[in-house]
Amino acid sequence: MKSSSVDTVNVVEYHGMSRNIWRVGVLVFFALLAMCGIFLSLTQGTTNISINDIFNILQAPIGSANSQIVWNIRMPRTIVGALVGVNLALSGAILQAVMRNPLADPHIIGISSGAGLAGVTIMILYPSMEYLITPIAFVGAMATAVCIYIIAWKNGIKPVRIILAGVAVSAFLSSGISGLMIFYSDRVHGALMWMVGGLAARSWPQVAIIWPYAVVGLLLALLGAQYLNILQLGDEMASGLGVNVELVRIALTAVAALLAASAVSVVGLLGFVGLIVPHAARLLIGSDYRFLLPASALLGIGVVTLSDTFARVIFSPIELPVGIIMAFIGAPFFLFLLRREL
Amino acid sequence: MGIIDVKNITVELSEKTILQDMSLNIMPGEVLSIIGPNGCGKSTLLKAIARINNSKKGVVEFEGTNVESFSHRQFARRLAILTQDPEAPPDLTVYDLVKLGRFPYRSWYSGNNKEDEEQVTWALEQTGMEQMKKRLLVTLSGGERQRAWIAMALAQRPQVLLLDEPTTYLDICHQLEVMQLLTKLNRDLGLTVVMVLHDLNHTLQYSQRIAVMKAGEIIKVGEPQEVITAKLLQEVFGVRADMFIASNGMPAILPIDLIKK
Repeated sequence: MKSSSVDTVNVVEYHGMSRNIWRVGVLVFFALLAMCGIFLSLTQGTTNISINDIFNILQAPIGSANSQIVWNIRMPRTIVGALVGVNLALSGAILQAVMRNPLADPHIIGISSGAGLAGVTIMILYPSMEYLITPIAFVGAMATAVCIYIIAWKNGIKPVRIILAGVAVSAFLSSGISGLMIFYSDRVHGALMWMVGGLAARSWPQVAIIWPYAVVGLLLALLGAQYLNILQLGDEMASGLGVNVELVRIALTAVAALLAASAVSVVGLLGFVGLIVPHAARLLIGSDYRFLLPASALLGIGVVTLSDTFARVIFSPIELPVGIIMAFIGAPFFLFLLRREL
Repeated sequence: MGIIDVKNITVELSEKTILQDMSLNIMPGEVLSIIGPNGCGKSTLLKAIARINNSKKGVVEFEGTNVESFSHRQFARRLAILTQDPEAPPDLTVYDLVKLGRFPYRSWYSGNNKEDEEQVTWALEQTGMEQMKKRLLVTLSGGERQRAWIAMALAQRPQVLLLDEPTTYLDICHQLEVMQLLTKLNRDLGLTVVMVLHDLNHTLQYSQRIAVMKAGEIIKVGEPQEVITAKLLQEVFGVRADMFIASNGMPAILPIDLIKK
């Protein structure tokens, strides 16, 4: 019986409440946080727009300057940020269970780099086939995941080996991305922004790319919740309970790869969301995936929209890519988890 | 024909042969203990029966049917396994754990039904865990925790229960508690119990048959008294042991010394 990522309570009551009431409460709290993030993202910026104005603009989109800002810039950017938050958080939550690893995150483990390399290759070498970026990025992400499993596999999955294999694969693929970007620097716009993950200039076309994947990914993830719960008992017990472990692991990895790839396709290599969000959600709601997945999705919205708003306003008019904020919070968080869990 | 027939299986792990051309019949309703030195392949045999490890040659049959021809869920309704020291998330309750035992009866879209609820309650009663169902697994003593895992396995409503060293890490009181629970389940439910054990006195007291393994092979199977002899302990474990009859009339052993080779 190892690891104790949730503080133990003797009986299942939190502050005198039954566990399910507590869980619903946490979900409501995360939902409010998400709404708070969305509103701040819409209202704050180089021009501040009041919430009242936002409501008026939403009801009657007239051609005022503020209306233009909200409809063409802030609204799509907020939606992209929210969906990226959902996708990366779900991807991380799934990977943590299927890779049996508290440190799994699509970015750290190299899946995002795999998606990125595949996506950048299309972007640079075959710009006319832009519509293929997300599917190809998915192929890249999945291939990377399979690669990591093969490298790390030795009589079962060992958490430390997965992380080390992931870090190495990630570095290898990132060098490929950097190389391509240097050779074809004329063809890459905002390359730096893309490497750290940013939401600048993300608009309705990016919303159109990501939302179908977010919806499908969320549904597939929720369908997999019970399997994720059972995988937490270890491969052998899961197999004994009637789970086809290899098949389920591949299927759920594919879902995680799909979610990560669609996020990478629109914002680049945004890291740490998939690490921080599921862990923070787990601390409050516990490790039952039927609750953890929706909680991660909601918290993902809140974290990315709030961080992006912060990144836009802190050094205004200079705008930081949100990835810098995430790395700033995420790296210490990673070290904290490393000391506690492995 | 037994309830499980292991027929000439060879199992390799990482290209190393662990089990070599092994056969074993497990009779319905019996308690069978598997003993042998460390690394002789006892756990591998259990996992081969539970089809966690695939055998390279030979077949394992359940009531005459090759275990590979069952779906994963169908098989989990017939046979349950408790591996050594299984892991669980730290915030899992006894009740939630036992409910996972109903997984083989669920389809991916269906939630909890009344049948599942009844079976979970039954499994908790059988193991004396109903008072503790709201407790977190990590807050239980080792013996209680083992009972919770056994309850999960029972919720699968299996005909056969495999256990890999169910008493390791437990003090002697909790060891007896687990052994007596297994005996009770075997007697009351007709559950076939197959377990890997290290404590030879437990095997003498609680099993109807004992299989002795050495270096990937079964070298002897039979009733406890005829299998566990001073000569066998010398050959298999390299120890000199005294055999005597305990106050309850059961045979017991006490290892005295190592035999230098």
